Amino acid sequence: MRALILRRLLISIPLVVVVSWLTFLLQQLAPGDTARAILGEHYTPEAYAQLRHQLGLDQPLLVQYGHWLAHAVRGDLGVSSITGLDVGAEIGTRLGVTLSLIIATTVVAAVLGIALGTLSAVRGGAVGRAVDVLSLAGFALPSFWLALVLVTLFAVVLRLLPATGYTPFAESPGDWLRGLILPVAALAVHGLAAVAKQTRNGLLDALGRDFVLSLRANGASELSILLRHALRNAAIPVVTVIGLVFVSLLNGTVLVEAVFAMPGLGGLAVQSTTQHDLPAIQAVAITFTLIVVAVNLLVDLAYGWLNPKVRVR
Amino acid sequence: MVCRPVFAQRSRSNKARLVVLLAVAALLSVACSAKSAQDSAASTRTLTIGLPAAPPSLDPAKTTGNGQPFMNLAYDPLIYRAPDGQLKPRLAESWGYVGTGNTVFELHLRSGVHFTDGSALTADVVKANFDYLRKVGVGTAGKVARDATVQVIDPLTVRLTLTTANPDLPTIFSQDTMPGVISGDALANPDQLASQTRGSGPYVLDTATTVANDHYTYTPNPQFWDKPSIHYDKVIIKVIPNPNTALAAAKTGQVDVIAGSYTTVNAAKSAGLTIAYTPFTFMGLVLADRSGTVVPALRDVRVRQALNYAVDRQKITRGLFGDYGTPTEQIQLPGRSGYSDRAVYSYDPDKARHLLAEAGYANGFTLPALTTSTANSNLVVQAIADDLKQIGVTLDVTNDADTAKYQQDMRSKKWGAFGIAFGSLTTHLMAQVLLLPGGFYNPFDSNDPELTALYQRAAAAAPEQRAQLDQQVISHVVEQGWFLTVTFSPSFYYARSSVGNLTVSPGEPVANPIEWHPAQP
Repeated sequence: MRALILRRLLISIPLVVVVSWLTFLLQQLAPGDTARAILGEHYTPEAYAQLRHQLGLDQPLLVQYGHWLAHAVRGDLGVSSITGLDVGAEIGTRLGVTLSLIIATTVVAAVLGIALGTLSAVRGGAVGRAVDVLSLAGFALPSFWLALVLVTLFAVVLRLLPATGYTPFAESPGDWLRGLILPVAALAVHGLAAVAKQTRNGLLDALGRDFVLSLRANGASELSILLRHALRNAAIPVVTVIGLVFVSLLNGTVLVEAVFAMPGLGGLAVQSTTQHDLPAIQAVAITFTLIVVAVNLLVDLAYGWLNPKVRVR
Repeated sequence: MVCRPVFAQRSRSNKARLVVLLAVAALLSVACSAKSAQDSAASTRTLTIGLPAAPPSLDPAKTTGNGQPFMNLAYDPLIYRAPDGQLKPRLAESWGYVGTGNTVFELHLRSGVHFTDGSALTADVVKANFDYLRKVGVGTAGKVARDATVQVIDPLTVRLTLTTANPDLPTIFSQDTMPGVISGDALANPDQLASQTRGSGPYVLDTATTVANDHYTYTPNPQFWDKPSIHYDKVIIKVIPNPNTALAAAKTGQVDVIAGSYTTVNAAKSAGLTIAYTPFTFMGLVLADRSGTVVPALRDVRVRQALNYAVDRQKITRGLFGDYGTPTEQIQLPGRSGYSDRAVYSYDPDKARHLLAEAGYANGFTLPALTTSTANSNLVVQAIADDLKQIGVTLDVTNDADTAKYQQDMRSKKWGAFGIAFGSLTTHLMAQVLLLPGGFYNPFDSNDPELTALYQRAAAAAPEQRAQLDQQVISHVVEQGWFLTVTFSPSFYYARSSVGNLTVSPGEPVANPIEWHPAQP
């Protein structure tokens, strides 16, 4: 286990470097640059040249990247080219929002998805078909549209939940929870559909195996067979899907954070990209990379817990 | 049958009870927090404003446009532009040009004003502000500072001497272009201004409860020189980029005032919100290639006039903005110096074809045009394209979604025309950007000696002559067909009934939150 964790952490270092370099290169290819974004219609060739020099943009690309990397390895992600605010602090402020959204959505998608998938596999028939149809609908519905519909219905018409905003948990757990209900609902539908589908397929396969017949012959209850044996056997691909759902939510939060005006990393990603704010873009890319690395590690650890044979390898 | 140990049964039922208890606790905290939020809002006078974007910096020297409301709360300008467009004393109690020619200007400051850090407003502080603007100012105020020599005449009098005439200094020193005067002590360490406020305005930013680009909380400034004009115990500006979300927040009472748009105005009206709107930016095409470099046809004034006759401004305005738009053929707002009531172009496609034929383009021509999605100027350009097609002119439109790319391409001289949404400045300031060689939106550096002479005469003119000269500038540009202007798009604000005095006008289309107050029941 320790070896696995150490291996993953070591692999993440070159991964982060590659991602940061690719992000840096891609931003150079994008139209416009930071100096133009700042000057806007106050652009003059002289002001542009002066600002580029101030921001270090007139240096060779490798020098610019090397300068950034030398600071980043010391934990200094720099300051925003646009706002002048410390990028690390900005990430810290926004990370909690995005993680709250992603973790809550993943938990909801996992719990409800497993429940629905189990129900569908066990009951079959009309219930199974209904779950299939709901799963299909869940894949098809765009989360952005669903978010707007939920806001209109639950916030504007019914006045049950807030339309916008995010309250930190430490400030008010109740407001934090209320503020998450609609965005989580909008985001969870896709993940729930994927988890339900995988659970159903996995359980159907497991419940048809010989060991289940043996357990039934030995007098084990259906509930015990389902929860202690079949579900555990079906769990590995479900855990994989849950991990993929978590990672895909890093993209999904961008639109939903915009709809609900939540100050998360998604909003920072969009804002820094459109403003050509290179330090902020780099910091967001690295943060997302580290989150993906952490999630993949957790998924591997979960495999080990679910299937002891995996631990031996 | 498998018997389970008794402790295993009790353990499962305890877990189930714990889950139920946690769920009940969560529901109770959700319900209680909603009630406590309502009670809290009722006991303090809090104004919550929803705006689509935050300024890149809270430093007033580096902020224009979107940032104005953020600055208005914490900083006082030298001169105040009231909602009706009139200029009124603020940190400067009086001001004026010295002599003739509009190159020497004096400001006489208000006494007894202190910044939030306790330091006093003096002429030396104002001079330090201009020195700072000279270094970092990106807008018009920065340009003036770089052109000006600033002298301290006495502790409360500042004199600026310019190298070129500028009749608009009172406007430039208002909150529209010079949002506020910064404390002299703060200027010793200006980096802090990116995230803190150091002004003399009615409110001060509460950094402890502010999250950059999400919400900004302001509390009353205990040092403010006009405390009776502070109407709220707290002002919160929330950044809500999505206009539908902003409208939902206003409908549900999460915010009291929002900046609106023509896409949501009917919904806002149906929801019973107060609507304040005014013409704000002119929209249309800049027929930039007046020398015919890439589009030879545009060299002929008859061609440019033909394009103006070909467009049905009423139809396009009604289609895009309904009752809220204002058709126009000129670039200056109604009621502002330079605006003319005299219409030059009627909708007359036959006349347009006749002019094209006279100029040798009876079969029409292709006009490559650049546009951008920003401010939806691409919608106006597409509407213009339909009308121009009727007279044989094909608008070959390229759309740049990215604003920086659009500005880069616009100045590349590859397109003879480009879409624009611009406003609202004085005629003098607009001329520098739109009309004179070297202006940002004059990429081909079109040079009309008659226009330049009019501009220079207006720049040096006394106020009583200026209005007529400004009108001549604008009329000349219209007659020469430098633009194919179609409509003024409005700025919108929506407010709940709890907020009073929300007004805008062509003279001041940006609403100022310091003017608002709790509405009388």
